[in-house]
Amino acid sequence: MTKPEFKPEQHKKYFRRSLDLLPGESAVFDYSRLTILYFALIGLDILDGLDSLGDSRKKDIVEWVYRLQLVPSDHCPVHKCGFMGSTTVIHLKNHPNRDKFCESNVAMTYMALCILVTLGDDLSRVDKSAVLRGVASLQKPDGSFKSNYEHGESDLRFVYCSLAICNILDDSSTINVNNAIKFISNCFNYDGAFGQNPGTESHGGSTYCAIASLSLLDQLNSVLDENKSKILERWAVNRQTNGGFQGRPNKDPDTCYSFWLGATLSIMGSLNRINKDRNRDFVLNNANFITGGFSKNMDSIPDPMHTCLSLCGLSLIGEEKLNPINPSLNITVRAANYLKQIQLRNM
Amino acid sequence: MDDRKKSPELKSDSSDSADETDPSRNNGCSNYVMYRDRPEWKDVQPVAQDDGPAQVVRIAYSEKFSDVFDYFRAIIKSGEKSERALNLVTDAITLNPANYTVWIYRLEIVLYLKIDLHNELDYISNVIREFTKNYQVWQYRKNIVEMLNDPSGELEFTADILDLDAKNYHAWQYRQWVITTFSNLIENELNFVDDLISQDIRNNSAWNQRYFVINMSNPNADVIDKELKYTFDKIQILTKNESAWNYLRGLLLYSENGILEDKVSTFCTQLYDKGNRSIHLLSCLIDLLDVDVNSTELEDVEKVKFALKLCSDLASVYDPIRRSYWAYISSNIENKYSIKEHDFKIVISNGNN
Ligand SMILES: [Zn+2]
Repeated sequence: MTKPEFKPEQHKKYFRRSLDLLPGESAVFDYSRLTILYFALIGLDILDGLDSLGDSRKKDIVEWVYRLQLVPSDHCPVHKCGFMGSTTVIHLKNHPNRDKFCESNVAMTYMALCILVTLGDDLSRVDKSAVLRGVASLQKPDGSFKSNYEHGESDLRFVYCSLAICNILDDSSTINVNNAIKFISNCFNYDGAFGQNPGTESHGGSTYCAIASLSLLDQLNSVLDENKSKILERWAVNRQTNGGFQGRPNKDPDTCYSFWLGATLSIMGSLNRINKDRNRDFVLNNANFITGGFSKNMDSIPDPMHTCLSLCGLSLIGEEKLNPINPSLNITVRAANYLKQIQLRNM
Repeated sequence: MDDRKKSPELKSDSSDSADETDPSRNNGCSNYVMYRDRPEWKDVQPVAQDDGPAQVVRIAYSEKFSDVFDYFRAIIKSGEKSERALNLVTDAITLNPANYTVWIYRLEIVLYLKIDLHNELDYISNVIREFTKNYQVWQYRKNIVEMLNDPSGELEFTADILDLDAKNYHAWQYRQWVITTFSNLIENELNFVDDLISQDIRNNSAWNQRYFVINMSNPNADVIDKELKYTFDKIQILTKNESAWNYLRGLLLYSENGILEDKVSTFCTQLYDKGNRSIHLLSCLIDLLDVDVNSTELEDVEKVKFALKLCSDLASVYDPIRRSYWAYISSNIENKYSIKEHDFKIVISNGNN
């Protein structure tokens, strides 16, 4: 088999197109357009392609994101504050008695902050206290977090987003960190990895959320003793199959797991135990040379999430021409260093 | 994590003309009329999406999508809770079930109109059948079932959905929620799991559910013993099945004084002696040997060397994709027992594989 070639320009074009206009089939993302924006911008940053956007476009994006912020007012109680994922119901912002339908979502707040930092915004217009109290209001007695206030579902995804927000804003005083750790630890399974909730099947995505959360809290060792680390490491390296990674045992490989499991192993300091060459081949074989972008497997078409996470996976294993990423926050190392500077300035 | 990506968008109809021309899609929508052209909606002023001065990640919405959501924005603003509002919300959900607000508003209307929640349960059953891997649909079902406080149809319903895809994470997670929230639902769960494992012995979700059930029952030694035999049988049917091996290792967590380890060790040794070289078998043997060694007697040194041989066999013959991993395990064992001289060194070229 010939070695597949990596062609970064095609993927930059793919992201620039996504930033502009998405086809009608993407209407299912109408309520979470911020996720597309996040994947496109983080992806472009990894490709070192942010400059090609131009300053005025970057400014437009920053303004668009800030419009999604809900700040405390007569019509917006503090527990609804944070960022919305789109403009679908933005007309209800500041409308009396409609906060039930116009509220933030913790995944969207996490992505909004990552976007702003990636574009060089200093977060000075983020109502930090409101965001942090908003996050705190989503924590349940078992330590987990809901996605949003009204009937939101709760699992490790939103634990991760909440802890990442606290990490970015450098303040975890509003939440119960010990309960969050307890919840994460309750999601640890007999086979050595984490499910979305206690008792549910181990999954590459939830395992990433658990490990990244613990690493952001600097508490990896408090949940994973030597033996647990050992079986988690085995579970994670065993996910490599046919070159790529699968999310669960006996499932087909999918490019996004090169990130979810690659980042998990990277955080644990164990990424050298995988076969990087075959992982690289698998991911690159799912690049689309007509449209640019990466698909999850050969039977699918590219989408922004799999394109971004494929690039993250490639960056982790040291692909040339790609900027390195911070595996716990899932932004580039450059953006994470810039974040450190902002945090120091505000101290 | 990618579940929300594909299935809904493939199924949501973005093309209106397709509705009109494709007879296979004719389920009452062949005469579809835009809300803006419906006389009974004349009194409502649609509200366009307000994207602000600069647009990013725009979506080329279909005419139908914009029409429905422009009217949805109007009624949620006016707060109208009526029969026609419910129909509109139903259309909005069909176009984008991943919209949290439509679900929250739907529930408001349903409660306000005092609609029979059993009918609402039927409705959500149909929506879930169409969008089996959407998060919001399952969450909505949870809300309805909680309010009804009646889980009587839930195991059957999730079984139906698992019949479409026996590894559907949403369905399993929901099923566990039902079982832990309402009592007396666990009785037949082991039979259910048994059937699924018989249908597909590699179904990891079913194995996980088996552990969930056993773990919840506070098993005594007899139960664990039975599980051990069950798992041995299943492993012998397909020795390379990681799910069964992981389950076996999970059972060892119930071991006291190494009794289970002895049984597992005997099983593994017999399998090995018969010539089986499943990577999970070899991996398990390495762990068991490692635990078993507690002295520097000659016999124990031989055991360690055997473990090192297994690592080497895995790295070079049976599991070469994880060559680096086995080299690492091998060097851990070398260091732990200070064995420097042996014939099973694993060489890694240029620090990679
Ligand atoms: Zn994926």
